[in-house]
Amino acid sequence: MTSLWLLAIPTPSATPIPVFGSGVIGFSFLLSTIVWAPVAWALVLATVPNPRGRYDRFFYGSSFWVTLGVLGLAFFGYIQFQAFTVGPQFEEKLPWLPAYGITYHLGADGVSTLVLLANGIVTLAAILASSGIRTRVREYYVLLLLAEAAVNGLVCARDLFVLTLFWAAATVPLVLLVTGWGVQPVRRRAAGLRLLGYWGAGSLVLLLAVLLLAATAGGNTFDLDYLGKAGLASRVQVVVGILVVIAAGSRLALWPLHGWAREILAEAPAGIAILVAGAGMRSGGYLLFRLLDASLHDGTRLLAPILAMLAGATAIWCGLAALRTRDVRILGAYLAVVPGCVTVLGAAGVTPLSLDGAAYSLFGGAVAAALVVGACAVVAERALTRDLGLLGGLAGRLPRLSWLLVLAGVGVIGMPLTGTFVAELLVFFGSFKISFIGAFATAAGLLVAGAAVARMLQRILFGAPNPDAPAATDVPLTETWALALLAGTLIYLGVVPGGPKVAGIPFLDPGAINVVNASVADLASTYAPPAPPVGGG
Amino acid sequence: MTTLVLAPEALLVATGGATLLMSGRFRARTRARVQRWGPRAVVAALLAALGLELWLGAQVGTLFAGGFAQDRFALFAKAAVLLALAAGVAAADWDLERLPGWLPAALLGGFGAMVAASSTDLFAVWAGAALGIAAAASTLGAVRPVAVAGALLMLVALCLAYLHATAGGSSLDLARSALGEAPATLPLALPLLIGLGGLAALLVLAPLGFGTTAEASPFGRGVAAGVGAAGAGVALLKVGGVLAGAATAWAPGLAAGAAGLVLLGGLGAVVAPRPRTTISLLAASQLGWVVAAVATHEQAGLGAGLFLLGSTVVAAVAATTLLRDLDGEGALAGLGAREPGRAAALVVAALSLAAVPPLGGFFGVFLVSSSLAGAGFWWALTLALLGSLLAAAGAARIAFAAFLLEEEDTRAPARAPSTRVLPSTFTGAAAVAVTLVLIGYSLFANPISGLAYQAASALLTGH
Repeated sequence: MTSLWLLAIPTPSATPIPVFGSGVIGFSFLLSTIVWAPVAWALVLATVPNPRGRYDRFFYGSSFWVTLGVLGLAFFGYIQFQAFTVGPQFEEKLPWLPAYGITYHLGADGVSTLVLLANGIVTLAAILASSGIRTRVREYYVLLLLAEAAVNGLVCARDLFVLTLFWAAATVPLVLLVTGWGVQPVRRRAAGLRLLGYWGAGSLVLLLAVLLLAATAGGNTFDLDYLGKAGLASRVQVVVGILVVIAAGSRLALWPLHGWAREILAEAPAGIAILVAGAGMRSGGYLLFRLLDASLHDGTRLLAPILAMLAGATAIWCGLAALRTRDVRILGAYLAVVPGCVTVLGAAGVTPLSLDGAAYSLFGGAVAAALVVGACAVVAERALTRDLGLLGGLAGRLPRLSWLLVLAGVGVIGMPLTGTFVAELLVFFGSFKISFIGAFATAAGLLVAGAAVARMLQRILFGAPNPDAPAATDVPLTETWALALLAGTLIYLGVVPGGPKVAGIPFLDPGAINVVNASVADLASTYAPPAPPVGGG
Repeated sequence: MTTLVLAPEALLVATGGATLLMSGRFRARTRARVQRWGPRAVVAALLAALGLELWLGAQVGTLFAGGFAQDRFALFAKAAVLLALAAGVAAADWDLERLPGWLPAALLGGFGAMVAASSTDLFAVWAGAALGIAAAASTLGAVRPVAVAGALLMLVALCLAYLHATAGGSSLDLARSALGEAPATLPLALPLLIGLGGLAALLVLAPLGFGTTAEASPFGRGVAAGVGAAGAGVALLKVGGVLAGAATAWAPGLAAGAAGLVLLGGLGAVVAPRPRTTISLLAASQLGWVVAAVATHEQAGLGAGLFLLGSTVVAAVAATTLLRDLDGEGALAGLGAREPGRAAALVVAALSLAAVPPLGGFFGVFLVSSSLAGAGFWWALTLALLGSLLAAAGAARIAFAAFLLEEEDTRAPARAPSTRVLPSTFTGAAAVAVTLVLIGYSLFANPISGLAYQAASALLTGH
């Protein structure tokens, strides 16, 4: 079985096969459009008159279509990606603050392309899951679109100033979303401030890392292409690396920076929880990939064991916490942290295989985490209780939601036929030799999380309904679509990681793993062990 | 052409004089017209002066036998002052303010700051800044701010006198060359540090003054915060640029003070009980970054400081004036629904003061941070960034209260203690214009920061 999955990873050949559907449109400002279109529409929504909430549905509908359009552009970028070209593609480079060495430099490699696609899907699901929002609708969708733009911006950034700007900018709309629309009015303000504290501190630490990197590299530039090849001293790389790990850890909720995750993911409404788990948290993993693995090779090698241990400790801690809790939303919140641990372990593995897996888990993990928090939020909302002790027998009453909850559970722990399984397979095979203890601990964490999932499914879905439980109400179609979109993506990633083929030619989809492979092969060459001497001379 | 460069200053003084006429006795009908059109005419005059400054100000030259110089620094600083004044007058609710009220004092203060920006002599810089600060402090209508400002100005004057004696003259060029290679001895370091520290204290006290003064009108508070800070900031940057040669004597001390200011300002903004105090502490915290920029004593840092000063001054004037009489816990509740333009301008200004991306304050703070890192002040940078993080939490409170807090969520009075429910078309449009100005400052960060960078070169080299 394992060898079958490993066969899914194609070997790069010198003669690429063009994907059917690629080259349909030529677009000079693809990335800028992906980043700024939501901002432009947010500004329009912010200024449209809305007497007595008359246009509330328009805000919802238009946000949906704009996000769908952005997802469409991200998909075009994905199928047009030239998998055999080294370096970023769709580049846009304009001098921004030339006196200070800052350029408006956007670009996407295979990993960025995949993360953009994941962000689009997750945001679309978040909007679908937000159809029930009835208060301050305009403000809600304005902030949602701004958050989407910020996350897309940091993924496309090739200049560290631009990256820091979008990284910090993503905090503000998400904090206001949690503060304004949190489930429990008494706790949402504190939850928002806590998120601001963790993510704000992470932004501060990232800013320090960026400044240290730029100051020591010289050259009066923040361009990643230059800084990534600056050849800094190992000591500097370790310091910058530690700062990057802290910044990324604040988003990924790595132990001990996990304090915000439970409160936010468990208290926010479904739409916000999906966005935070699927897009916001994944940006931490992306940062590790972009700044640590791609730019600080010596630092990464030295920090890898610590990083792997952090991944393991977080996975075990979250698995145990999920096993212990009686609250279905808190359970979902802890489970949503687990895919991030796989990403971190893969980033710490520093082998081509583990880096492939880490990049793939940025997509699969994003979808799985968003699905599990979304499904748990919908269950709690529809069953009118969050108490696992009161929930029971929902499989018969809410069959569609039950299936989606099962998929969420198996997806988050990485069962076969899901995208997370492919990622985990690559990560564990790639990192077991290098970071044995970290890999073992992460695997143990996954096992405990699996036990928590089994307990959750047994309690919620099966058995007789609890007579003391409130009556469950049916799930609206939009919420089902939101979860189904995520579940479908997760299964698609697991079933055809190499993309569908018709008569041996990729059809519409070049395959997520191929797109990732192209960029990782270039990046991982730095970490590849030296070839054994031929002839024993 | 040479004397035409002073047209903006002349227009400012003439407008200030004209506003005095508004205090005359008029018939009721005329009085209503003056009340309606007077502030609009002032805004138009200020915008005309700004346009003249940007058109004519690019003429680099020395006027009046070396007494005044029109360089990039003067151009930038004077444009920032005029923009801040225009934003303040436009954002004020002139149905609630008396006319002429503090308009003449505000314009006089702006004139003082412009004089300080153009001066090539230590004492002319001091005199311009003193005029700006004194006029701004007087708008608070209280004795204490004027007394504190006076005491600090005297301290600064003493240190400048010491500098005059050391350099053998009061010309900025003379001081620059005399201190260019001066060893960092304690007798030199102490007065320089006290002088620069005094200017830094004046800079930060400008916004803090209005936060603690309840007697002043909203426009008066805005002028005190913005114009006072502009006067002190211009003088600080100018003197700091001149003393760059002897920076080893004062830079670490000033960096420490700056970091403390940012940190304390941010901490205060988080715990401040009233929006007015929060805004004042946010402004004070960001002005601490301007002080830190002076401590870097190199072109990029000073340029970033000037860029940030412009952004801070405009945002502080706008936020303070737009806040008007809203005060107390929950007073901002429902503002976003009642007056969306005003709420948006207020929130954008507060977020910019807290250096929240992607507004002008963030650009300025990032550029200053980069220079601080380059200068090796990592400890000051870390503390200051922590202060900015706290400031962001303070600004988030303002944003939350204005847009997300419903009126029924609070027991506080639902509305401002004003009799009018909705603003006039002019104040509504002005609020939107102020929002656009604040956003435009970040959108056009490239030409603005480039100009500030050139201005810093003029500061360091004298031409």
